[in-house]
Amino acid sequence: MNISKTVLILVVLALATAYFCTNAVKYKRTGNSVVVRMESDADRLNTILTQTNYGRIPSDLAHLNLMTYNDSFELVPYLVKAQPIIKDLPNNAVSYTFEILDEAVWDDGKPVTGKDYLFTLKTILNPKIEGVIGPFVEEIKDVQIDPKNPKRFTVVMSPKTIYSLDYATNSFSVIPEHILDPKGLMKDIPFSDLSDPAKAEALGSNPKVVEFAELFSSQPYSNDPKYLVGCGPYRIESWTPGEKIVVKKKKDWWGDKIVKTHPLLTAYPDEITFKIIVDPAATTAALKNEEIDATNRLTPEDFLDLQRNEAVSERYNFLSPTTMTYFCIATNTRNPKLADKRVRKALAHILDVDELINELYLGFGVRICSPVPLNSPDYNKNIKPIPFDLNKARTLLAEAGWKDSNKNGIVDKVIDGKVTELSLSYFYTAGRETAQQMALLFQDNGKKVGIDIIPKALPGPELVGNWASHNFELLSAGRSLPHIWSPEQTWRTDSDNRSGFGNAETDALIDQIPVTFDVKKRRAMYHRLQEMIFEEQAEIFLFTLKECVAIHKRFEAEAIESTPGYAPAEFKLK
Amino acid sequence: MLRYFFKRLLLFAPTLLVALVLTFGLSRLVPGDPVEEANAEEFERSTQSEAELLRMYRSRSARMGLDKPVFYFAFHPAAYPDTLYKIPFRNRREVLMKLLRQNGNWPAVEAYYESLGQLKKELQCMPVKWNSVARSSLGQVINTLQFSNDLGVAQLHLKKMAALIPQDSMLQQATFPTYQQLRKSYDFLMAHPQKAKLYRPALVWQGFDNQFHQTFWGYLQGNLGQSYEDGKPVSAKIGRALSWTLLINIFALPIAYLLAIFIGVRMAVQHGSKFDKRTNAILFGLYAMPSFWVALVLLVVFSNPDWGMNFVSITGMMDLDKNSSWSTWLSVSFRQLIIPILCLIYPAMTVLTRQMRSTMMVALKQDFVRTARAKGVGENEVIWQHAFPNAAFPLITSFGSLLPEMVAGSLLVENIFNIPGMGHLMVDAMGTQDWPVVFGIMLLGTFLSIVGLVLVDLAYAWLDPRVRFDRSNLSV
Amino acid sequence: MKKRQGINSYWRNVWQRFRARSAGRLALRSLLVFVLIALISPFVANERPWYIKVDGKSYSPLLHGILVDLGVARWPEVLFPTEDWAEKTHQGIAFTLIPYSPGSIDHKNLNARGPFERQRVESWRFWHWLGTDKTGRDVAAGMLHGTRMALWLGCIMVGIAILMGLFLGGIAGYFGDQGLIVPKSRIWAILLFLPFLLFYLAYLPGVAEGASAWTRGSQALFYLVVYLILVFLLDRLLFLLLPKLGHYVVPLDTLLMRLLEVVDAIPSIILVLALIATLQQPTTTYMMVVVGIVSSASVARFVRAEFLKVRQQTYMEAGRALGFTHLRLLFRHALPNALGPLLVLLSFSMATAIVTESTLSILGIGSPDRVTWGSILGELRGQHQIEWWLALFPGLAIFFTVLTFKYLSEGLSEALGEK
Repeated sequence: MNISKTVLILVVLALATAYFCTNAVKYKRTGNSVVVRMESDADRLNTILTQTNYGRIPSDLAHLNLMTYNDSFELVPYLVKAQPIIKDLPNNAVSYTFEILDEAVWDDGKPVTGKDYLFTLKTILNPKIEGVIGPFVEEIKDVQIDPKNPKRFTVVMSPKTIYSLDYATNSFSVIPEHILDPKGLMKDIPFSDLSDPAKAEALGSNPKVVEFAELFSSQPYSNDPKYLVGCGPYRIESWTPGEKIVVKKKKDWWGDKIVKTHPLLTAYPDEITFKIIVDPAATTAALKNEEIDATNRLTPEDFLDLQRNEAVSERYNFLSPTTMTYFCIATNTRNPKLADKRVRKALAHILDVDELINELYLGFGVRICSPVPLNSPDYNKNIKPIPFDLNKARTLLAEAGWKDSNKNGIVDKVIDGKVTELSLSYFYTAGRETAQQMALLFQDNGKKVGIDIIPKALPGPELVGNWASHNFELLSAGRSLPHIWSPEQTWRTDSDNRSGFGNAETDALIDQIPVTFDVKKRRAMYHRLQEMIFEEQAEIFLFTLKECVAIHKRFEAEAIESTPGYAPAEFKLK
Repeated sequence: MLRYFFKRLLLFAPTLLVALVLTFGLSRLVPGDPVEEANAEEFERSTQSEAELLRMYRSRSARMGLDKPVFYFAFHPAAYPDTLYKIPFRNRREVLMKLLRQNGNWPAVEAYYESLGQLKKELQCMPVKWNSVARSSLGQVINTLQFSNDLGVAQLHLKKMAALIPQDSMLQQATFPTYQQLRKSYDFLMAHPQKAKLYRPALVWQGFDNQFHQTFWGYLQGNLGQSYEDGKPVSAKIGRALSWTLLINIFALPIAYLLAIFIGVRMAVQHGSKFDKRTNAILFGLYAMPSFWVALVLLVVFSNPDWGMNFVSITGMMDLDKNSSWSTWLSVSFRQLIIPILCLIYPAMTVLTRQMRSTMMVALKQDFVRTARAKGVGENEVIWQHAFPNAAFPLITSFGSLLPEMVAGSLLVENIFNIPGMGHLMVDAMGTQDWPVVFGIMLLGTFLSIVGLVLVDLAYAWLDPRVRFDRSNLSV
Repeated sequence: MKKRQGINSYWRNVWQRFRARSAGRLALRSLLVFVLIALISPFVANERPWYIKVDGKSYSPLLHGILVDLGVARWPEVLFPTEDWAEKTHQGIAFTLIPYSPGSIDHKNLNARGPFERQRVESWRFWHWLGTDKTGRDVAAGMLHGTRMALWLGCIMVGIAILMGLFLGGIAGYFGDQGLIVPKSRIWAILLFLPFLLFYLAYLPGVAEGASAWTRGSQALFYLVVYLILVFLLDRLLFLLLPKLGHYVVPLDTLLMRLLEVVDAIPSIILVLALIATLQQPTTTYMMVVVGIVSSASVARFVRAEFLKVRQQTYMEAGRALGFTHLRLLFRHALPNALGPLLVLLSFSMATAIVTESTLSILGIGSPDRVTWGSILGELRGQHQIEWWLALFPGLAIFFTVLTFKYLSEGLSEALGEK
């Protein structure tokens, strides 16, 4: 009797605890609409013209690319039925044949066809329209639409490289011809004229081309929801500048019918609001008051603070995916002081990267050794980072002939008959507190081994300008990591090549990589190139940052690597 | 009265015009290339191929109206080209100018630089699979030469090139003619320096289609240009911010005046009393206290939840929707604005009170006050009806100088308390190098303070008819 | 001789009246304390020790370091590297009171540690009594060095404001609208050659790439001299050819007042920000120069008013009647009489300068190349957890300095018998 009573009480207690535990958190936010914080307003919502991520993120919900990347860095079908049929053509050209999904239609029920794809390309290449996509599609030489099946079309590209498919399918979204160009202004302009830079220049005076460019660049095409339509799951509902952008799920969207077989077309929330909250403090307040469902770009301090705050952490999941950007210190190897690789290595030794990550970014960073996404199979994991070691740095400097002959605390060496002190200017972006702190720490460590580092804060564009014209010694740089590493721009001797390192072997590798289609061979070449670059330390790679993301717990959602760190369309109610 | 008003306006018009010209001048003195700054992201993201960069630069600068000469005329050395402003990219412009300053022969310098670019293009166009040590080294040399501004060093590099090119037959075939052209243009350059031209001034008429003309008419029509940040009209951005600044000042100014009048008059009346002495000491302390520090301390004290006094919010206003209720609007804005307004009130108040006190003391000693008292007028009436109106004149004058000061004060307070007003916008724009916004705010601030001055004059004339009719008073 | 005495007794009188008030005395004493702190700060807060004994020999790295920084001496071999003194093997060491320089970074105490928080230090000797800032710099050392910077920057600003203001206001006030009468021929000569002078001054330094500042300066001086000679020659020539050309009356006063009107119309902090935007290198010193130029407007207005007042006085008329030159009248008579009020303004401007510097630092304008009170306060920006020690100490320092200067100006003006 007693025992059973005790058992009964225990059971009741257990049930009660279980009940209270599961219901302990009553969310203020419910329902299937998502509010996402964006830290800045969109510039425009036209998917072709927008220049910022803030315009791209909302407009991408309304549009679809032909193909997209999956988690293992592979291009997979998105708006098309399957991987394209690839045909090699003479003269180093290649053709891809796609077929758009049968179900894919615009909002008015008209099918998405190859004509729309062609129209999109013509718009991008219109010489009077200023977009940022232009350079990517210049390699597309021709688009042939199957006369019997307008959904089937072939894209001819030259030269054939490993980037060709990415350029043709993932660099832009398809826009509807019949809505955006009702007069058919671009219809009669032959594509071959537009894709030829010389002829395109001449087309700049064609009245039809000009008329369309003016129409397309006009305000309504950038902010009126009527013209911001695509074949994606969402429709842009309203945009209140400075406040919010609202997108709504389309009723009976075509993708919902085939989502089982095409999981990439998943789109759960009924409505997504991008609320513009610039200030970090305002963002933490919004999280505390449970006013938003997701945010990125929390400062590390706020992130840790909020995570410790019970009221917040029981409502939000805190995630920190790595981002697709990295920081490095670029060195100018053309400068006689930095020409010796041992000096650059000494510089790498005096950078306490772990301290930078742990103290300045509170641990939200990962060391990297080459400019490739960490999780990409192309990343050479055999390269070991250079450790913080002041003595090693001193030895390297001494080996390279840098000694403090005049006893002023700074090492020097005779270069071209002149005694030169190893004093290096170090440019960093003005206005960023962490950049300034990093500069001070770098300078401090430099002092200890006799390198005089002179930090100088420059406004962003000026920094880039000096970098591009090789007018620097050391420079703190941040760059974004593309899905496929294309080293041409940065490392080919006859291109931009800001650091000035490059030789016949690297050039050969850089030229071979884009035309090597055997994945294994290419990977080996990638790895070799990374080794060579790392060995030179022309750019001292530091770390890639982690994004600080919070997502409301009522959703099942994963963090992703590309900005903003989450995909709002994939937020699934638990 | 109306005539007087127009006269005052006419007097201020030249001031405004000079301020406009000054603003334009300053906006062109700012370091950096506006085209590069406004499109920095795009340039970084582009493929960086030579042709692409040039095309992008030209179209962007045309859109921003910067492909035009700066002013109606230019006064520069005869060696300088008339189309200096058309050379894309600041760094290249600088390299070219440095070369020119060593030589003085612009066509030759230009030809040399162009053939260098041509050589680079040709090297880039060589078949992909052709690689050799010579080619890579040549690439390096060209890259160095492109940004080298020393003609003496250039000769060394050209010699290096001459040694490199024959090492590789493909390279020789592809680049030798251009190299020869480069060499020829270099030799021509060195053989025909025109240094005298550098010392000869030239006056060049550049026509009415220039940046100054355009911008100045834009200013006059209220068009302040477009923000570099997001391409939106500056006037719209400033307009939104201005409403915030006005909001806090509309509360702060009258309160500061009222407080100053009451305290100041009382201090003057009870001159020498304990109240007078104590208030004076407190006012002096307040007067010495920098307002930013007060703001920071109040913020620390009243926004810290650990001390249980998180009464002040620095975030609420951004979350208010247009459809939130009146009561929430009031409570939220009260919580966010009360302390900033206090921080604006007290510095103005201390200055005004001290002024009020001293003028009132003078007024109270005047004959007519004594006469009034002698007539047996009540003390209150003496103070407020007789002495005060005469003592209040300086307060009106200080309104003119107070208005710009309040704008300055809001600059700090807005930044500390995170209010999206003009000061906040200005500092943000300084940080992001958004010059049109910075200079737009400068113009608006000037305009507002001139309006303030005109208002002060009018008030003066309205209160004191003598001013209206006194001709000699017209000049300030 | 007699006049000298007269002036002396006037100032003695002022000094006595100034000293009679306790507020004035206090302000003066507090100013002396600030100056003293500024002078001794490098010997109180320094990472280099007073004394170190290595291998049986004694050194004084602090004093020696000053010589090395001046380029007069070299470091002895045994002291290398001249960093991390505490970690050297030594037989004896004596640190300064605060063993940190304003810029030295304590890697173990990064990210702002408060005075009462846990600090990772080896002994109490290395404790950060006022905490550290985000980069691990000692706040106490920064505060001491900040005193030095505050006075230095204040002097720069006030110096420039006074020099420019005196010049502009002085000539406008002295000459007034009718006082400057110049032959037409001279004006024409000046205007004719002026564009050329500007042309050569603006463009020719660029021609001599890499020339030292010295040669550039002498070049500019050369152009100026040539200009003056040319003006003189043309003036003479015109005078000889057209002797009856007549004179222009230059309305200097009106011109200056119009200029001041424009400067006054632009809110001063906005003008300062806009001017800073045009600087290539917005270092703290340059920024204070800009502030000085902007505030010279008010000095000019003030000096003009004073000079106008002085001009009316009888001794000036007497001087003019005696045939004294303009310069003599200006410097020997007008200036000393305007000096008193000017001192008041100067003291007041010092306070404004210090506040302005801090304001700019807090707003994050310019590049923070030096540790100042404002830059310590500025570290608070963008923080959601506010570190009170970064706000309190520099804030108090600024408050007391400003109070000192304002009391000083108040006391001075009362002693001078103003109001």
